[in-house]
Amino acid sequence: MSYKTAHAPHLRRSDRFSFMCADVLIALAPLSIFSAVYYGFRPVLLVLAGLVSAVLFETIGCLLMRRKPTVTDGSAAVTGAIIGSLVSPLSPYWLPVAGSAFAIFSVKMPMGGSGRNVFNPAAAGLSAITLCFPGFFFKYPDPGIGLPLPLSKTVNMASVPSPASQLASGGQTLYSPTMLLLGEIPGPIGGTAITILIASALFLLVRRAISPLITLPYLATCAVLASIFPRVTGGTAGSVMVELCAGYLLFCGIFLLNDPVTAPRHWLGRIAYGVLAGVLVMLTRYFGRFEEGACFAVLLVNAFATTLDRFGWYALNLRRIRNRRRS
Amino acid sequence: MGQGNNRLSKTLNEMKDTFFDSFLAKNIVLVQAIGISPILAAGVTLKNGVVLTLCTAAVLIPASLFMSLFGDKLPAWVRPPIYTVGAAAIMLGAAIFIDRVISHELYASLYIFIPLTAVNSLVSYRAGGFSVSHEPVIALTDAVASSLGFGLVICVVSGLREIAAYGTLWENPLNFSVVLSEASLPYAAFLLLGFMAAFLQWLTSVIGQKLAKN
Repeated sequence: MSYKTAHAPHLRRSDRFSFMCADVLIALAPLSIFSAVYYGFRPVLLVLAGLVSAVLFETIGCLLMRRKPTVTDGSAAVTGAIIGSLVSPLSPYWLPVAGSAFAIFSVKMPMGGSGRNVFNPAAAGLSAITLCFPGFFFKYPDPGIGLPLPLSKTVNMASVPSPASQLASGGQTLYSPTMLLLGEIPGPIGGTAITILIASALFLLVRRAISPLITLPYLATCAVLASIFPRVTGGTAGSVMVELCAGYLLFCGIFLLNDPVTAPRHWLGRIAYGVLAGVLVMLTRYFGRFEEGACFAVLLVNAFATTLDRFGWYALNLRRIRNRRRS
Repeated sequence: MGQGNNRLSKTLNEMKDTFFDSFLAKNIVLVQAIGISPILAAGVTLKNGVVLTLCTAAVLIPASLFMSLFGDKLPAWVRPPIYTVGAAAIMLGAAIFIDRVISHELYASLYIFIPLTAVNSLVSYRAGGFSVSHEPVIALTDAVASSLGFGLVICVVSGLREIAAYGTLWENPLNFSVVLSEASLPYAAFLLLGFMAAFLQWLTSVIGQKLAKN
């Protein structure tokens, strides 16, 4: 009898992983196109810079480790595209490249490459560039400017406060629910178009690339915390609306938490994972140094994924385990 | 005579092994992860790093020597108070020396970390654990090697952070156009320590393979 071996991530069908990555890339594309409508071609170039550099770095890493290149499964492209989608449209082109380099060379490849990483490489790359270059990361252009951004290396332009920074400073919010839903707000390339994000989420749900058991508890926890501890004046509903739409909270729940490599597999573990992620995201917002720290929360919750998987299994099999111990 | 020679070479061998182990192969910071807090908080300039290395050595060497000489004659519960009080006394002298003789500014930037050296886990771990069960010579070697290992790490980290955060090295300007002021925050030290620990693991694995071949 012979056994077939497959390497991680251990999905039911191993050929599904590359399809999942392709689905995620398809879901990410409209976000940068939407940003291109407001800011010209620069956001698309930034996303491509992240994507191409991540694929390149993964190839180099595989060559250095003398391994068969794993770029064809698409996970490196997804990592790079996510990093590119979460920088500001004003940022220089080397910023997503630096994030991809950190993600691939110090988080993904040392842990054993594709499918074996403990922490989400995209979240780690984002954390690195958030911490090292907050000056570039949180400078967002005004969407109402009506002119495409110049394609030069760096852009010297006045930045406007994003909804997340207004939340951090408190007071009355300037953005109406319609503006938030339509994405007419300053923010990262892929984080502002709330309607398109919801559509992408539905597409990925239908394609079974993401799990509602992670995303829905996560959003519910964020909403509950936002309604209990509002940071803006103007009622509970307004607070929930602004908190969920500001920064890249929704993007994080769809693309970062649902990484099949780092998320738990057990259904109860997934729900606990979503709730824990929601609590941590809101805590980093309330007490963190930066206006948006969802990437740090993702890294923290990644560390608990295996424990939560085990916890889910034990919680459901408690009676059976006890009976076995007694007998 | 021959027996004495044999014993001497055995002790020398043990000293060499202890030194190499404590300094590099089982580096106190990078492998055993002890004494990280001063590096994160105070290892921002090279001068701070050197001063903290000297303070650690000034506490660790007498404490280790004392514990290896008298440690096994004392009951276990008396040992920690003795070396902690002794270390605190040494650090009091060091603090006065730095303030009066060297410079008041250096003292002002380090005044909270000098007394903390006395209760650093590095001291209690090496002096209270290793030294008690070893001969004075070995304990002394271990204390020197541990201080040097700690010093190497804190000097590299603080030097790099000083270059990145202020563009200076030992307060000499280096005239860089880009300055990353964020490097003085603790996370930069965590990142550097992580990379250094990974580098050390790689180094020891390479050396181990070379030794296994020969």
